[in-house]
Amino acid sequence: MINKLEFRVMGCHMLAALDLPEERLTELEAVPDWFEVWEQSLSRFRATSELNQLNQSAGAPFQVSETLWDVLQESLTSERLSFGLVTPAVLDALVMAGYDRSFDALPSASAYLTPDHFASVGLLSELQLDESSRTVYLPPGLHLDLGGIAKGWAADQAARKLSACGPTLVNAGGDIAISGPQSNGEAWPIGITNPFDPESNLEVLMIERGGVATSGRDYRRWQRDGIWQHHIIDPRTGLPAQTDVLTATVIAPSAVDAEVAAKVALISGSHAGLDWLESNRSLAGMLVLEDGQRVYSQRMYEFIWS
Amino acid sequence: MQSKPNTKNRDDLKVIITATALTITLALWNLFSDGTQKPVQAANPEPSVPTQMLQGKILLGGLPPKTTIIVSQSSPSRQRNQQNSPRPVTNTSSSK
Repeated sequence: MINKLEFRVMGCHMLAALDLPEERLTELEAVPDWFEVWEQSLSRFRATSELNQLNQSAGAPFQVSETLWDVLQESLTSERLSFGLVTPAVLDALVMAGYDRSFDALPSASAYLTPDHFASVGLLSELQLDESSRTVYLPPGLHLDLGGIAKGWAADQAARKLSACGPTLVNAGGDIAISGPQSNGEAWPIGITNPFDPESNLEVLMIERGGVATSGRDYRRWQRDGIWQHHIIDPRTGLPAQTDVLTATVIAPSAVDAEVAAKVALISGSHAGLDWLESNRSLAGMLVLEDGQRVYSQRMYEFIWS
Repeated sequence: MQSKPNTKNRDDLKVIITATALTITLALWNLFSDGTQKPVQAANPEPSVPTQMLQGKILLGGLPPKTTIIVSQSSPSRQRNQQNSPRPVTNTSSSK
């Protein structure tokens, strides 16, 4: 029986599902507390978060928790695998684009008066790390936003911890981690929301384990000087990515890998994004374009309900 | 000493049967292929436009050819299957 617990944290809707022989929520009740601890460490929207303290340390050595250390390591790997397209060093560019507070607190049509300039984006690899003491030296001028990677990482962690109780699925704001097949041996059915009609699904995926995530510019967007902005920064320009992809959904070995790959596909655009997905055998993806067309990587068909 | 006319007759018979079978096969082939081949005629015949010749040099190397994009069109069968699909446990979408 699938037991579900839904809650809101990290500015997103979360869901934890556990397949048990009977109806029971005891094991799931601890999950919101895990996310609360992770948010206090990783959120840029909490003034007292560990990440904000690191961002203000400006070159001074800063000892970080195991959680922040793990996510920084994950971010470094993601930055390398994405050739720098997915990096947490985009905080200044995000703020300059208008994303300077929690999305829930953003006015829908903000009247920002700042000139239309862009922030240069550094790379996380500029960090100096001392593993023995878990100390980080953040160069002056480099500020981090762990947004998407933190959610994917949290989904993976929660699914791993819950899997001791039974087959589990954790959805952290669209980044989904799956521990293994359901008790009956079947894959988990997961819908891909239609960005043009959020009440309907474009496809239903059947996934046994790993991760799936969607990156999109259909929801977290706002207006500045009459121009739509969104939260996915292209580090090459320091501006919201100019792309024909509206949403990218990717299946990968983990939720954080899926999150990073979906972002790469979206920033790269449909042609280069699909090429990149096809070249990586551990990935499968579907891109929804601005005009409503959908393009699929060949491996994606293995997961689509038919 | 045994004579060989019987053997020769059998060989001749085999040749005749084979030749007849081949002839019938070819005849039937031509008959049916003629029956199905029809002259192709365009519904709106237009004067052919000569292909424009490539100007300039052809250079080797450069970017590899792009992957062909397959545009999915929802077919009636897919719509039917979606209706019968299991109810999703959850959905993936851009973060909300």
